[in-house]
Amino acid sequence: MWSLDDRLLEILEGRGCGENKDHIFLKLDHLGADVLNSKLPGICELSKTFAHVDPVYHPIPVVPTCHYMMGGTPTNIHGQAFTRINSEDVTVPGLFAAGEAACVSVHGANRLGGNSLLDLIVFGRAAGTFIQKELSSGGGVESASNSDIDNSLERLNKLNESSSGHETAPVKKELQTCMQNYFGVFRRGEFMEKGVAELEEIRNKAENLYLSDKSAAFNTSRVEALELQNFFEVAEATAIAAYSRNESRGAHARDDFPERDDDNWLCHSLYDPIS
Amino acid sequence: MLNINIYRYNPEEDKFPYMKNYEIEKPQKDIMVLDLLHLLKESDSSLSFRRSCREGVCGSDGMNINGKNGLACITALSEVLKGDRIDIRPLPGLPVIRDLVVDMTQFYNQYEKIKPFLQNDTTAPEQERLQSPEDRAKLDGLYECILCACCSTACPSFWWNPDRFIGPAGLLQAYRFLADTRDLEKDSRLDDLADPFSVYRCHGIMNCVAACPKGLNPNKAIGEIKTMLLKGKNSKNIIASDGVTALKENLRK
Repeated sequence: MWSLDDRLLEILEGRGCGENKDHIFLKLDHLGADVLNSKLPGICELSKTFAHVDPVYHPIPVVPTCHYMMGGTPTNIHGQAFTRINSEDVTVPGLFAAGEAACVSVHGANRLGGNSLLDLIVFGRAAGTFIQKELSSGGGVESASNSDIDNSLERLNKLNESSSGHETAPVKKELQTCMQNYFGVFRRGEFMEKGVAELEEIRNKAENLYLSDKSAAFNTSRVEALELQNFFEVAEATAIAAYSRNESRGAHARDDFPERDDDNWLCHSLYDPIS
Repeated sequence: MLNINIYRYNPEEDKFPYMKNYEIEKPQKDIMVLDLLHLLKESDSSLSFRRSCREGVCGSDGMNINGKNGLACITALSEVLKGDRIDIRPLPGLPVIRDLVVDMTQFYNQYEKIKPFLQNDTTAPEQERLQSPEDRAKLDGLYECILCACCSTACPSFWWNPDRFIGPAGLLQAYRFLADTRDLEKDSRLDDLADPFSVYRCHGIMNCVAACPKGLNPNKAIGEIKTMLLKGKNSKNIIASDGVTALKENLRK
Protein backbone atom coordinates (compact mmCIF):
# COMPACT_ATOMS: atom_id res chain seq x y z
CA MET A 1 0.00 0.00 0.00
CA TRP A 2 1.35 3.42 -0.91
CA SER A 3 1.46 6.18 1.61
CA LEU A 4 -0.17 9.52 0.99
CA ASP A 5 3.21 11.05 0.14
CA ASP A 6 3.96 8.54 -2.62
CA ARG A 7 0.71 9.26 -4.38
CA LEU A 8 1.22 13.00 -4.43
CA LEU A 9 4.91 12.63 -5.28
CA GLU A 10 4.02 10.78 -8.46
CA ILE A 11 1.99 13.78 -9.57
CA LEU A 12 4.47 16.39 -8.33
CA GLU A 13 7.34 14.70 -10.14
CA GLY A 14 5.51 14.69 -13.46
CA ARG A 15 4.38 11.07 -13.53
CA GLY A 16 0.69 11.90 -13.21
CA CYS A 17 -1.93 10.70 -15.68
CA GLY A 18 -4.13 12.54 -18.14
CA GLU A 19 -3.58 15.51 -20.41
CA ASN A 20 -2.39 17.73 -17.55
CA LYS A 21 -0.71 14.89 -15.62
CA ASP A 22 -2.69 16.11 -12.63
CA HIS A 23 -4.08 12.84 -11.26
CA ILE A 24 -3.24 9.17 -10.85
CA PHE A 25 -5.44 6.12 -11.48
CA LEU A 26 -6.97 3.87 -8.85
CA LYS A 27 -7.43 0.46 -10.42
CA LEU A 28 -10.20 -1.63 -8.86
CA ASP A 29 -11.41 -3.80 -11.75
CA HIS A 30 -9.58 -6.87 -10.40
CA LEU A 31 -12.14 -6.96 -7.55
CA GLY A 32 -14.95 -7.79 -9.97
CA ALA A 33 -18.46 -6.43 -10.34
CA ASP A 34 -19.96 -8.36 -7.40
CA VAL A 35 -17.47 -7.16 -4.81
CA LEU A 36 -17.46 -3.58 -6.10
CA ASN A 37 -21.23 -3.26 -6.23
CA SER A 38 -21.83 -4.89 -2.85
CA LYS A 39 -18.88 -3.52 -0.84
CA LEU A 40 -18.26 -0.14 -2.46
CA PRO A 41 -21.60 1.01 -3.92
CA GLY A 42 -21.00 4.63 -2.86
CA ILE A 43 -17.58 4.82 -4.52
CA CYS A 44 -18.97 3.28 -7.71
CA GLU A 45 -21.83 5.77 -7.82
CA LEU A 46 -19.57 8.77 -7.18
CA SER A 47 -17.05 7.79 -9.81
CA LYS A 48 -19.81 7.23 -12.38
CA THR A 49 -21.46 10.58 -11.62
CA PHE A 50 -18.39 12.78 -11.36
CA ALA A 51 -15.66 11.04 -13.37
CA HIS A 52 -17.91 9.18 -15.86
CA VAL A 53 -15.98 6.04 -15.06
CA ASP A 54 -17.34 2.63 -14.07
CA PRO A 55 -14.76 1.13 -11.68
CA VAL A 56 -15.86 -2.37 -12.75
CA TYR A 57 -14.16 -1.79 -16.10
CA HIS A 58 -11.90 1.25 -15.84
CA PRO A 59 -9.51 2.82 -13.31
CA ILE A 60 -10.79 5.85 -11.35
CA PRO A 61 -8.87 9.15 -11.69
CA VAL A 62 -7.97 10.29 -8.14
CA VAL A 63 -5.99 12.98 -6.32
CA PRO A 64 -5.21 13.20 -2.61
CA THR A 65 -7.41 15.82 -0.96
CA CYS A 66 -8.74 17.06 2.35
CA HIS A 67 -12.00 15.32 3.16
CA TYR A 68 -12.13 15.25 6.92
CA MET A 69 -10.99 17.28 9.93
CA MET A 70 -8.84 15.14 12.20
CA GLY A 71 -9.32 17.51 15.07
CA GLY A 72 -12.01 19.60 16.65
CA THR A 73 -13.42 20.72 19.95
CA PRO A 74 -11.61 18.60 22.55
CA THR A 75 -14.06 16.31 24.35
CA ASN A 76 -13.97 13.44 26.81
CA ILE A 77 -15.79 10.15 26.13
CA HIS A 78 -19.10 11.69 27.31
CA GLY A 79 -18.94 14.34 24.59
CA GLN A 80 -18.24 17.08 27.17
CA ALA A 81 -16.04 19.79 25.72
CA PHE A 82 -13.06 20.74 27.80
CA THR A 83 -10.38 23.36 27.81
CA ARG A 84 -7.02 23.45 29.52
CA ILE A 85 -6.34 25.79 32.38
CA ASN A 86 -2.96 25.60 34.18
CA SER A 87 -2.21 22.20 32.59
CA GLU A 88 -5.50 20.75 33.85
CA ASP A 89 -8.45 19.62 31.72
CA VAL A 90 -11.48 21.69 32.72
CA THR A 91 -14.88 20.83 31.23
CA VAL A 92 -17.00 23.61 29.75
CA PRO A 93 -20.47 23.28 31.30
CA GLY A 94 -23.23 22.72 28.76
CA LEU A 95 -20.96 22.47 25.73
CA PHE A 96 -20.95 19.11 23.94
CA ALA A 97 -19.50 17.97 20.64
CA ALA A 98 -19.54 14.68 18.72
CA GLY A 99 -18.39 13.43 15.34
CA GLU A 100 -16.27 15.49 12.99
CA ALA A 101 -16.81 18.65 15.08
CA ALA A 102 -15.19 16.96 18.07
CA CYS A 103 -11.80 15.59 18.94
CA VAL A 104 -12.37 12.66 21.26
CA SER A 105 -8.96 11.36 20.14
CA VAL A 106 -9.97 8.01 18.69
CA HIS A 107 -8.63 8.56 15.16
CA GLY A 108 -5.00 9.37 15.76
CA ALA A 109 -3.42 11.45 13.02
CA ASN A 110 -5.32 9.90 10.11
CA ARG A 111 -8.92 8.70 10.26
CA LEU A 112 -9.54 5.35 8.59
CA GLY A 113 -12.35 4.99 6.06
CA GLY A 114 -15.71 4.23 7.67
CA ASN A 115 -14.65 5.40 11.12
CA SER A 116 -16.29 8.83 10.91
CA LEU A 117 -19.75 7.29 11.03
CA LEU A 118 -18.66 4.97 13.84
CA ASP A 119 -17.32 7.95 15.82
CA LEU A 120 -20.55 9.86 15.27
CA ILE A 121 -22.82 7.00 16.31
CA VAL A 122 -20.84 5.86 19.34
CA PHE A 123 -20.03 9.25 20.83
CA GLY A 124 -23.26 10.91 19.71
CA ARG A 125 -25.11 8.26 21.68
CA ALA A 126 -22.72 8.56 24.63
CA ALA A 127 -23.25 12.34 24.71
CA GLY A 128 -27.04 11.92 24.54
CA THR A 129 -27.03 9.40 27.39
CA PHE A 130 -24.80 11.63 29.49
CA ILE A 131 -26.90 14.76 28.89
CA GLN A 132 -30.07 12.89 29.82
CA LYS A 133 -28.49 11.69 33.06
CA GLU A 134 -27.10 15.12 33.87
CA LEU A 135 -30.41 16.89 33.29
CA SER A 136 -32.43 14.39 35.31
CA SER A 137 -30.05 14.77 38.26
CA GLY A 138 -30.57 18.52 38.23
CA GLY A 139 -27.28 19.38 36.59
CA GLY A 140 -26.81 21.18 33.33
CA VAL A 141 -26.12 24.64 32.12
CA GLU A 142 -25.80 27.87 33.99
CA SER A 143 -28.01 30.63 32.63
CA ALA A 144 -26.38 33.02 30.19
CA SER A 145 -25.60 36.46 31.54
CA ASN A 146 -26.56 39.59 29.62
CA SER A 147 -22.96 40.16 28.67
CA ASP A 148 -22.72 36.58 27.32
CA ILE A 149 -25.73 37.29 25.13
CA ASP A 150 -24.35 40.63 23.98
CA ASN A 151 -21.02 39.02 23.09
CA SER A 152 -22.61 36.26 21.09
CA LEU A 153 -24.85 38.70 19.21
CA GLU A 154 -22.05 41.12 18.44
CA ARG A 155 -20.93 39.28 15.30
CA LEU A 156 -24.50 38.98 13.98
CA ASN A 157 -25.32 42.62 14.71
CA LYS A 158 -22.19 43.81 12.95
CA LEU A 159 -23.22 41.93 9.80
CA ASN A 160 -26.80 43.16 9.99
CA GLU A 161 -25.67 46.76 10.35
CA SER A 162 -22.91 46.59 7.73
CA SER A 163 -23.07 49.33 5.08
CA SER A 164 -19.74 48.59 3.41
CA GLY A 165 -17.06 45.92 3.44
CA HIS A 166 -16.04 42.77 1.62
CA GLU A 167 -18.35 40.46 -0.31
CA THR A 168 -18.49 36.93 1.14
CA ALA A 169 -17.91 34.87 -2.03
CA PRO A 170 -14.50 36.32 -3.09
CA VAL A 171 -13.14 36.22 0.48
CA LYS A 172 -14.23 32.59 0.75
CA LYS A 173 -12.42 31.83 -2.50
CA GLU A 174 -9.31 33.59 -1.21
CA LEU A 175 -9.40 31.52 1.98
CA GLN A 176 -9.86 28.30 -0.01
CA THR A 177 -6.98 29.14 -2.34
CA CYS A 178 -4.70 30.03 0.57
CA MET A 179 -5.43 26.79 2.41
CA GLN A 180 -5.14 24.72 -0.78
CA ASN A 181 -1.80 26.29 -1.77
CA TYR A 182 -0.02 26.40 1.57
CA PHE A 183 -1.68 23.82 3.85
CA GLY A 184 -2.69 21.10 1.40
CA VAL A 185 -1.67 17.48 1.35
CA PHE A 186 2.04 18.26 1.17
CA ARG A 187 3.36 20.92 3.51
CA ARG A 188 6.61 22.86 3.77
CA GLY A 189 7.69 25.40 6.39
CA GLU A 190 8.52 28.24 4.00
CA PHE A 191 5.14 27.90 2.22
CA MET A 192 3.21 27.69 5.44
CA GLU A 193 4.93 30.79 6.72
CA LYS A 194 3.60 32.66 3.68
CA GLY A 195 0.18 31.11 4.26
CA VAL A 196 0.05 32.23 7.88
CA ALA A 197 0.90 35.79 6.78
CA GLU A 198 -1.81 35.69 4.09
CA LEU A 199 -4.34 34.46 6.64
CA GLU A 200 -3.63 37.55 8.70
CA GLU A 201 -4.83 39.69 5.77
CA ILE A 202 -7.83 37.47 5.15
CA ARG A 203 -8.82 37.77 8.83
CA ASN A 204 -9.28 41.49 8.36
CA LYS A 205 -11.60 40.87 5.42
CA ALA A 206 -13.53 38.07 7.11
CA GLU A 207 -14.18 40.30 10.09
CA ASN A 208 -15.46 43.11 7.86
CA LEU A 209 -17.97 41.49 5.55
CA TYR A 210 -20.71 43.42 3.82
CA LEU A 211 -24.16 41.84 3.87
CA SER A 212 -26.22 43.41 1.08
CA ASP A 213 -29.29 41.24 1.62
CA LYS A 214 -30.58 41.86 5.15
CA SER A 215 -33.96 40.10 4.82
CA ALA A 216 -35.06 37.63 7.48
CA ALA A 217 -36.65 34.79 5.47
CA PHE A 218 -34.20 31.96 4.78
CA ASN A 219 -31.35 34.36 4.09
CA THR A 220 -28.56 32.06 2.98
CA SER A 221 -26.17 34.94 2.28
CA ARG A 222 -26.22 35.80 5.99
CA VAL A 223 -25.60 32.16 6.87
CA GLU A 224 -22.72 32.01 4.39
CA ALA A 225 -21.13 35.12 5.86
CA LEU A 226 -21.30 33.65 9.37
CA GLU A 227 -20.02 30.32 8.05
CA LEU A 228 -17.07 32.03 6.38
CA GLN A 229 -16.09 33.54 9.73
CA ASN A 230 -16.26 30.08 11.26
CA PHE A 231 -14.24 28.63 8.38
CA PHE A 232 -11.63 31.25 9.07
CA GLU A 233 -11.26 30.22 12.72
CA VAL A 234 -10.87 26.56 11.73
CA ALA A 235 -8.46 27.44 8.91
CA GLU A 236 -6.30 29.51 11.22
CA ALA A 237 -6.22 26.80 13.89
CA THR A 238 -5.25 24.24 11.22
CA ALA A 239 -2.60 26.53 9.73
CA ILE A 240 -0.89 27.45 12.97
CA ALA A 241 -0.99 23.90 14.32
CA ALA A 242 0.46 22.57 11.03
CA TYR A 243 3.15 25.27 10.82
CA SER A 244 4.29 24.63 14.39
CA ARG A 245 4.48 20.85 14.09
CA ASN A 246 8.00 20.10 12.80
CA GLU A 247 7.42 16.47 11.85
CA SER A 248 5.28 14.26 9.59
CA ARG A 249 2.53 12.21 11.17
CA GLY A 250 -0.56 10.63 9.63
CA ALA A 251 -2.19 13.07 7.22
CA HIS A 252 0.25 15.82 8.21
CA ALA A 253 2.98 15.29 5.61
CA ARG A 254 5.90 17.79 5.56
CA ASP A 255 8.62 17.41 2.99
CA ASP A 256 11.04 19.47 5.10
CA PHE A 257 10.40 17.18 8.09
CA PRO A 258 9.53 13.82 6.48
CA GLU A 259 10.06 11.70 9.60
CA ARG A 260 7.81 11.08 12.56
CA ASP A 261 9.29 12.56 15.73
CA ASP A 262 7.90 10.82 18.81
CA ASP A 263 10.45 12.42 21.12
CA ASN A 264 9.06 15.92 20.60
CA TRP A 265 5.63 15.56 19.06
CA LEU A 266 3.80 12.63 20.65
CA CYS A 267 1.08 15.04 21.74
CA HIS A 268 -2.04 16.94 20.68
CA SER A 269 -1.94 20.54 19.50
CA LEU A 270 -4.45 22.70 21.33
CA TYR A 271 -5.38 25.99 19.70
CA ASP A 272 -6.76 28.76 21.88
CA PRO A 273 -7.98 31.68 19.74
CA ILE A 274 -8.03 34.02 22.73
CA SER A 275 -4.42 33.55 23.79
CA MET B 1 -24.87 32.34 -23.52
CA LEU B 2 -26.97 30.33 -21.11
CA ASN B 3 -30.55 31.44 -20.72
CA ILE B 4 -31.43 30.67 -17.11
CA ASN B 5 -34.82 31.24 -15.53
CA ILE B 6 -35.17 30.87 -11.80
CA TYR B 7 -38.25 30.97 -9.62
CA ARG B 8 -37.86 33.84 -7.17
CA TYR B 9 -39.95 34.71 -4.17
CA ASN B 10 -39.02 36.64 -1.06
CA PRO B 11 -42.03 36.88 1.28
CA GLU B 12 -40.79 40.22 2.68
CA GLU B 13 -40.57 41.92 -0.70
CA ASP B 14 -42.64 40.11 -3.29
CA LYS B 15 -46.41 39.93 -3.44
CA PHE B 16 -46.17 37.11 -5.97
CA PRO B 17 -43.45 34.77 -7.12
CA TYR B 18 -41.88 35.48 -10.49
CA MET B 19 -39.32 33.96 -12.86
CA LYS B 20 -36.05 35.87 -12.97
CA ASN B 21 -33.88 35.65 -16.06
CA TYR B 22 -30.11 35.37 -15.83
CA GLU B 23 -27.64 35.21 -18.65
CA ILE B 24 -24.11 33.98 -18.22
CA GLU B 25 -21.39 32.73 -20.50
CA LYS B 26 -21.80 29.02 -21.17
CA PRO B 27 -19.12 27.25 -19.09
CA GLN B 28 -16.46 25.48 -21.18
CA LYS B 29 -16.75 22.19 -19.37
CA ASP B 30 -19.87 20.39 -18.27
CA ILE B 31 -20.81 21.53 -14.75
CA MET B 32 -23.52 20.46 -12.34
CA VAL B 33 -26.68 22.54 -11.86
CA LEU B 34 -25.54 23.30 -8.30
CA ASP B 35 -22.28 24.78 -9.63
CA LEU B 36 -24.38 26.98 -11.89
CA LEU B 37 -26.45 28.20 -8.93
CA HIS B 38 -23.25 29.01 -7.01
CA LEU B 39 -22.00 31.02 -10.02
CA LEU B 40 -25.26 33.00 -10.07
CA LYS B 41 -25.16 33.56 -6.31
CA GLU B 42 -21.74 35.20 -6.64
CA SER B 43 -23.36 38.07 -8.55
CA ASP B 44 -26.81 37.90 -6.92
CA SER B 45 -26.33 37.03 -3.26
CA SER B 46 -30.08 37.21 -2.59
CA LEU B 47 -30.71 33.94 -4.48
CA SER B 48 -31.56 31.26 -1.88
CA PHE B 49 -31.26 27.49 -2.17
CA ARG B 50 -30.36 24.66 0.17
CA ARG B 51 -27.19 22.66 -0.37
CA SER B 52 -24.67 20.84 1.75
CA CYS B 53 -22.62 17.81 0.63
CA ARG B 54 -22.57 18.60 -3.12
CA GLU B 55 -22.26 14.90 -3.97
CA GLY B 56 -25.79 13.45 -3.85
CA VAL B 57 -25.59 12.16 -0.30
CA CYS B 58 -27.34 14.71 1.94
CA GLY B 59 -30.47 15.31 -0.15
CA SER B 60 -30.65 19.07 0.51
CA ASP B 61 -30.75 20.42 -3.02
CA GLY B 62 -33.81 18.70 -4.48
CA MET B 63 -35.45 21.03 -7.00
CA ASN B 64 -37.38 21.05 -10.24
CA ILE B 65 -34.96 21.35 -13.14
CA ASN B 66 -36.47 21.86 -16.60
CA GLY B 67 -39.65 20.18 -15.43
CA LYS B 68 -38.10 17.21 -13.66
CA ASN B 69 -37.32 16.82 -9.97
CA GLY B 70 -33.72 16.03 -9.16
CA LEU B 71 -30.69 16.89 -7.07
CA ALA B 72 -28.86 19.93 -8.44
CA CYS B 73 -25.46 18.62 -7.33
CA ILE B 74 -25.56 15.41 -9.39
CA THR B 75 -27.48 16.73 -12.38
CA ALA B 76 -25.09 17.77 -15.15
CA LEU B 77 -26.08 20.77 -17.29
CA SER B 78 -25.61 18.65 -20.41
CA GLU B 79 -28.33 16.27 -19.21
CA VAL B 80 -30.98 18.93 -18.76
CA LEU B 81 -30.30 21.88 -21.06
CA LYS B 82 -32.92 22.49 -23.71
CA GLY B 83 -30.86 24.29 -26.29
CA ASP B 84 -29.23 26.87 -24.04
CA ARG B 85 -32.21 27.22 -21.73
CA ILE B 86 -32.72 25.97 -18.22
CA ASP B 87 -35.68 26.65 -15.91
CA ILE B 88 -35.26 25.97 -12.20
CA ARG B 89 -38.19 25.90 -9.79
CA PRO B 90 -38.68 24.71 -6.20
CA LEU B 91 -39.99 21.19 -5.59
CA PRO B 92 -43.68 21.26 -6.58
CA GLY B 93 -46.57 20.95 -4.14
CA LEU B 94 -44.90 22.14 -0.93
CA PRO B 95 -45.21 25.69 0.43
CA VAL B 96 -42.35 27.91 -0.74
CA ILE B 97 -40.40 29.67 2.03
CA ARG B 98 -38.19 31.59 -0.36
CA ASP B 99 -36.87 31.12 -3.91
CA LEU B 100 -35.93 27.44 -4.26
CA VAL B 101 -36.40 26.64 -0.58
CA VAL B 102 -39.59 24.76 0.34
CA ASP B 103 -41.19 24.01 3.70
CA MET B 104 -40.65 20.27 4.22
CA THR B 105 -42.91 19.96 7.31
CA GLN B 106 -45.64 17.93 5.59
CA PHE B 107 -43.04 15.62 4.10
CA TYR B 108 -41.37 15.01 7.46
CA ASN B 109 -44.71 14.57 9.24
CA GLN B 110 -45.51 11.68 6.90
CA TYR B 111 -42.05 10.21 7.45
CA GLU B 112 -42.47 10.44 11.22
CA LYS B 113 -45.78 8.54 11.02
CA ILE B 114 -44.16 5.36 9.74
CA LYS B 115 -41.85 5.17 12.81
CA PRO B 116 -38.59 5.09 10.88
CA PHE B 117 -36.56 3.20 13.44
CA LEU B 118 -35.95 -0.42 14.39
CA GLN B 119 -38.49 -1.71 16.91
CA ASN B 120 -37.42 -4.77 18.84
CA ASP B 121 -38.18 -5.15 22.55
CA THR B 122 -36.18 -8.30 23.13
CA THR B 123 -33.05 -7.95 25.24
CA ALA B 124 -30.20 -6.69 23.11
CA PRO B 125 -27.42 -9.26 22.68
CA GLU B 126 -23.92 -8.64 24.01
CA GLN B 127 -22.77 -7.25 20.67
CA GLU B 128 -25.02 -6.53 17.69
CA ARG B 129 -28.23 -8.09 16.33
CA LEU B 130 -26.91 -10.27 13.55
CA GLN B 131 -28.58 -10.73 10.20
CA SER B 132 -27.77 -13.21 7.43
CA PRO B 133 -26.43 -11.76 4.17
CA GLU B 134 -29.64 -12.97 2.47
CA ASP B 135 -31.86 -11.12 4.96
CA ARG B 136 -29.66 -8.05 4.73
CA ALA B 137 -29.98 -8.13 0.94
CA LYS B 138 -33.75 -7.64 1.35
CA LEU B 139 -33.00 -4.06 2.41
CA ASP B 140 -31.11 -3.22 -0.79
CA GLY B 141 -32.94 -0.60 -2.82
CA LEU B 142 -34.64 0.63 0.37
CA TYR B 143 -31.97 1.86 2.78
CA GLU B 144 -30.29 4.09 0.18
CA CYS B 145 -33.06 6.72 0.34
CA ILE B 146 -31.71 10.14 1.37
CA LEU B 147 -35.13 11.79 1.96
CA CYS B 148 -34.58 14.49 -0.66
CA ALA B 149 -38.36 14.55 -1.36
CA CYS B 150 -37.92 14.49 -5.15
CA CYS B 151 -40.31 11.52 -5.37
CA SER B 152 -43.11 12.63 -3.03
CA THR B 153 -43.22 16.12 -4.57
CA ALA B 154 -43.47 14.57 -8.05
CA CYS B 155 -46.50 12.51 -6.98
CA PRO B 156 -49.99 13.83 -7.88
CA SER B 157 -51.53 11.75 -5.08
CA PHE B 158 -49.20 13.44 -2.58
CA TRP B 159 -50.06 16.87 -4.01
CA TRP B 160 -53.74 16.02 -3.48
CA ASN B 161 -53.51 14.51 0.04
CA PRO B 162 -50.19 15.59 1.57
CA ASP B 163 -51.72 15.35 5.04
CA ARG B 164 -53.06 11.78 4.75
CA PHE B 165 -51.18 9.93 2.01
CA ILE B 166 -47.77 8.90 3.35
CA GLY B 167 -46.22 9.42 -0.08
CA PRO B 168 -43.58 7.38 -1.90
CA ALA B 169 -40.59 8.40 0.27
CA GLY B 170 -42.34 7.57 3.55
CA LEU B 171 -43.74 4.31 2.17
CA LEU B 172 -40.35 3.20 0.86
CA GLN B 173 -39.08 3.60 4.42
CA ALA B 174 -42.17 1.90 5.86
CA TYR B 175 -41.33 -1.13 3.72
CA ARG B 176 -37.65 -0.86 4.68
CA PHE B 177 -38.69 -1.71 8.26
CA LEU B 178 -41.42 -4.20 7.25
CA ALA B 179 -38.74 -6.07 5.28
CA ASP B 180 -36.21 -6.01 8.13
CA THR B 181 -36.00 -9.43 9.86
CA ARG B 182 -34.78 -7.73 13.06
CA ASP B 183 -37.91 -5.61 13.42
CA LEU B 184 -40.67 -7.21 15.51
CA GLU B 185 -43.49 -4.70 15.01
CA LYS B 186 -44.75 -5.82 11.60
CA ASP B 187 -48.36 -6.19 12.75
CA SER B 188 -48.60 -2.78 14.39
CA ARG B 189 -46.82 -1.18 11.44
CA LEU B 190 -49.39 -2.72 9.07
CA ASP B 191 -52.25 -1.69 11.40
CA ASP B 192 -51.04 1.90 11.18
CA LEU B 193 -51.14 1.75 7.39
CA ALA B 194 -54.49 -0.05 7.09
CA ASP B 195 -56.71 2.83 6.02
CA PRO B 196 -57.87 4.12 2.65
CA PHE B 197 -55.35 6.98 2.49
CA SER B 198 -51.94 6.06 3.93
CA VAL B 199 -51.01 3.52 1.23
CA TYR B 200 -53.98 3.22 -1.09
CA ARG B 201 -53.83 6.71 -2.55
CA CYS B 202 -50.95 5.31 -4.61
CA HIS B 203 -52.30 4.51 -8.06
CA GLY B 204 -49.03 3.44 -9.62
CA ILE B 205 -48.45 6.68 -11.48
CA MET B 206 -44.71 5.95 -11.25
CA ASN B 207 -43.55 9.58 -11.16
CA CYS B 208 -41.62 8.60 -8.03
CA VAL B 209 -39.56 6.06 -9.94
CA ALA B 210 -38.85 8.54 -12.73
CA ALA B 211 -37.81 11.26 -10.25
CA CYS B 212 -35.64 9.31 -7.77
CA PRO B 213 -32.04 10.57 -8.14
CA LYS B 214 -30.76 7.43 -6.40
CA GLY B 215 -32.47 5.10 -8.87
CA LEU B 216 -34.80 3.56 -6.28
CA ASN B 217 -38.28 2.16 -6.86
CA PRO B 218 -40.82 3.35 -4.26
CA ASN B 219 -43.65 2.04 -6.42
CA LYS B 220 -42.42 -1.53 -6.06
CA ALA B 221 -42.10 -1.14 -2.28
CA ILE B 222 -45.67 0.19 -2.11
CA GLY B 223 -46.80 -2.87 -4.11
CA GLU B 224 -45.14 -5.09 -1.49
CA ILE B 225 -46.92 -3.25 1.33
CA LYS B 226 -50.27 -3.61 -0.44
CA THR B 227 -49.67 -7.35 -0.74
CA MET B 228 -48.80 -7.61 2.96
CA LEU B 229 -51.93 -5.65 3.88
CA LEU B 230 -54.17 -7.84 1.71
CA LYS B 231 -52.71 -11.03 3.16
CA GLY B 232 -52.95 -9.69 6.72
CA LYS B 233 -55.85 -9.49 9.14
CA ASN B 234 -56.83 -5.99 8.03
CA SER B 235 -57.62 -6.96 4.46
CA LYS B 236 -61.42 -6.86 4.79
CA ASN B 237 -61.46 -3.36 6.26
CA ILE B 238 -59.34 -1.98 3.52
CA ILE B 239 -61.12 -3.56 0.59
CA ALA B 240 -64.45 -2.37 1.99
CA SER B 241 -63.28 1.11 2.76
CA ASP B 242 -61.03 1.77 -0.18
CA GLY B 243 -62.72 3.57 -3.01
CA VAL B 244 -66.18 4.52 -1.80
CA THR B 245 -65.24 5.60 1.70
CA ALA B 246 -62.17 7.40 0.48
CA LEU B 247 -64.19 9.27 -2.09
CA LYS B 248 -66.78 10.27 0.51
CA GLU B 249 -64.13 11.41 2.93
CA ASN B 250 -62.46 13.42 0.26
CA LEU B 251 -65.70 15.10 -0.71
CA ARG B 252 -66.50 15.88 2.91
CA LYS B 253 -63.18 17.67 3.20
